[in-house]
Amino acid sequence: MTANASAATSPAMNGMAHVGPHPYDHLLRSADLPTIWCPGCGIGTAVGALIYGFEQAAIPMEKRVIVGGIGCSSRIVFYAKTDAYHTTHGRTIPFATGIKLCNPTLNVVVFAGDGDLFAIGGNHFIHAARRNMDLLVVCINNFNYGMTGGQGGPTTPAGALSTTTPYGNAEFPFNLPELAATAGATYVARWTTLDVRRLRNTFADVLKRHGFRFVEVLAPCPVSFGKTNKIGSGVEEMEYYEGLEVLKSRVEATEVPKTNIELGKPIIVGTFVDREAETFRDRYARVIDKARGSKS
Amino acid sequence: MPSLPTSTKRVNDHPHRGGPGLGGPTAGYVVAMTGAESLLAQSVSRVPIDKPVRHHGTVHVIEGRCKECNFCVTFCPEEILEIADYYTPRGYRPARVKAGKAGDCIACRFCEHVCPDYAIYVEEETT
Amino acid sequence: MSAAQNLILSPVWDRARTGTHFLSGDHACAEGAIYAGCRFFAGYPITPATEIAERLAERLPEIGGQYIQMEDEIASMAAILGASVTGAKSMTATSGPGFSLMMENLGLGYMEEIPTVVVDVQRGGPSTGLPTSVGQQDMMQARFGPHGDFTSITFSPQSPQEAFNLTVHAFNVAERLRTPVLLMMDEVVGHMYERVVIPPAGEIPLVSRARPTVPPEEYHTYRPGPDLVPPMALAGDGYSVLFTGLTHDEDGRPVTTYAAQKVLVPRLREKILRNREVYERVGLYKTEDATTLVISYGITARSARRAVDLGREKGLPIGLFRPLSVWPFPAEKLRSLKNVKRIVVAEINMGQVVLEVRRIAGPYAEVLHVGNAGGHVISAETILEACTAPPEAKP
Repeated sequence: MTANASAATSPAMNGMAHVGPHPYDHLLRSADLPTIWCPGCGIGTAVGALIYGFEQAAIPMEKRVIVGGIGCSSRIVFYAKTDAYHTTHGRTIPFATGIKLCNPTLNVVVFAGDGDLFAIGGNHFIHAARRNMDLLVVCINNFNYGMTGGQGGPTTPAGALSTTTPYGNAEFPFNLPELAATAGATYVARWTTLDVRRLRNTFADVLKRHGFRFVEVLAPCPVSFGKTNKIGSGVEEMEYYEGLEVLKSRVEATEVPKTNIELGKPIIVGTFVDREAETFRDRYARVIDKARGSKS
Repeated sequence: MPSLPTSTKRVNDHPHRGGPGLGGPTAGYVVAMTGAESLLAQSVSRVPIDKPVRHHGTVHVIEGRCKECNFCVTFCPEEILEIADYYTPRGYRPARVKAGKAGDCIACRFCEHVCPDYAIYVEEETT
Repeated sequence: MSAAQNLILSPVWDRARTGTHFLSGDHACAEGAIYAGCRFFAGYPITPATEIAERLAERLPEIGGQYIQMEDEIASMAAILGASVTGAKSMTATSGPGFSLMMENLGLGYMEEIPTVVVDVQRGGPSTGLPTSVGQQDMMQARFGPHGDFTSITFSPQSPQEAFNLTVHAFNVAERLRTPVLLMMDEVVGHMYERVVIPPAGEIPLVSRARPTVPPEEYHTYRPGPDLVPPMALAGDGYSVLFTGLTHDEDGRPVTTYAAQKVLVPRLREKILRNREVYERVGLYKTEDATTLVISYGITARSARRAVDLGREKGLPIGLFRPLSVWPFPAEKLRSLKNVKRIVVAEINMGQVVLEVRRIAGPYAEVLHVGNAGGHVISAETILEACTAPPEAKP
């Protein structure tokens, strides 16, 4: 798939200069573009932000590892040009754990959706957070299971519609920052894809850090969630977030439980947790020292 | 091509401990520099107030990737983009710069950052 | 800087405990893993495999390796795959219930061609069954556990010494053929203590997976060599590899079409079937002139050998055909025993490997099954009885 396929149908260039490669073309599997994501989907924006983060944090190309699960968000692995592993649904985090522990010099990012990480993958999430496993976990939260057609999931707001909650969701969703913070994550932030500059800068920052870092990204899903809940197109869903989001430069620990998302209510975005703590590997390094010391 | 700062220090060489946390996201490129480098950079980029720097950009659209999502058109602060009246072979009408508006681009790059399809980017010229 | 830096991939394998030991099958398996170069174990406690985890929890940090107890067996299987893509030799160990949980990710390992070793110390099943008693009831699951068409390489040791040997062999096979390999022990072998000799480092050659010989621009993630095995680029090598469980082309790109499936899935099978000399191991005992053959594996094979001896004392031409590699079943070797008229398959289940034997030898031999529902070792006398029973009346 190449750029500029429209030459045959478009009239003469409308004052536009010659179209060269996109600045990220060498960082993407460009031959496989355009992506499979729907028009108006926010995943591509988040992927671009992550690529910016890798570049800005000067992570060498060969050290970048992305692990995706199953779902629309996990398809980052087919587009970002890094060592990329597409795993089974929900099992991104343990797979990534194996990678990181066996080669700690790699910069390992888990990039998956709300169902992959918090329904089937929920158990793995809380244990990796508990261990303070040195991973960046990015959750693209579009409030439903997009790939399979828009079913409800663990982050679908109460009362929201989906193909499996046609009368309104009878469940309450997880508050992801609260869950992450409680489970032990040392960095927690939430942004929407509209906050793309802040999202980019967040990635540039956290990719240089260690510990279990969690970033929730609210993304539009116009074909499933947005349409079903009459929020509209991708742009309208973005404007919906724009109208509701409230930026807090720092959310106090006691305030975190109040940051849950409800239809029509303000959405708190910002940095929720930001601290340093020993990672699992730090502590296991001491186990190794002790084991080798005691046996020699 | 957008320029990325070359003074970024490699703080992640140590497999277990990175550099000190940089205290959360900040705008622009200062995030990657130490305090001293940052001050130096700011003093170098400071310009006299009687000669303001204007940022100007040329927008490029890779039409074959555009999916008519309207993000760039809606959120461009200078409103220089619109949806074309023709279709790409993929069946979308791509974004394009409005007639006569090419000179209004301030190179904020929001379109480039927000586009989910890597279909638009800005070449910056500074005067 | 702590001594733990990056020891996972460094060859600290002279820590193998060379010498003569008195070890259980579980512990011998753990030592076999260490001898083979395993540096990453992710597992979950389950009777009767727990001792493997415990041994490695103690031994791996001694040699700079990584032991991690995951939150469940699903995570354990995923973690050992992740470990392996960095080049580390990895293993997990479980029993029936955990083995069931591992199936999906085991399938991912087959599909993404990731070398690793999975040990199942079988106990009585199904379900929670008999946690502390023997069974050999997971053998068909070893053959057909994950969904989809794939070919499994499965070994079965009959002693702690063999648990050591076959674990080393399993790692070598996994690396050579770029596939998960299964080691199906049973609770008796796992828990029995016997003499185990661990040879000096280097005496058993070790195999590591083939790596790319061309630069990234020329490399194709899943383009197979002449042996149908694709060289494996590791995470961090700079090849920007793409691994997916979706049906894929030679570059790992998902291509979910009939045409792509036709190329990929048969190759995964042929990769195993065409490389028999890499893994196949059969024990033949007094089979040269045998007209009756006992086929058995694991602890049951020891009773079977005794049955053969008892039969020979009575002048009966009985032999023992013992597949150490149970899957793919060594059919050619079996068929090469031309005098065989009766085969008795003895296994602690209600009929699993016997189904394959019947498929292979049924056309020319009478195939009988000696087994039970689990929980009890089959005696030599029971096996001998089946060898000497009158032929079944034909309708």
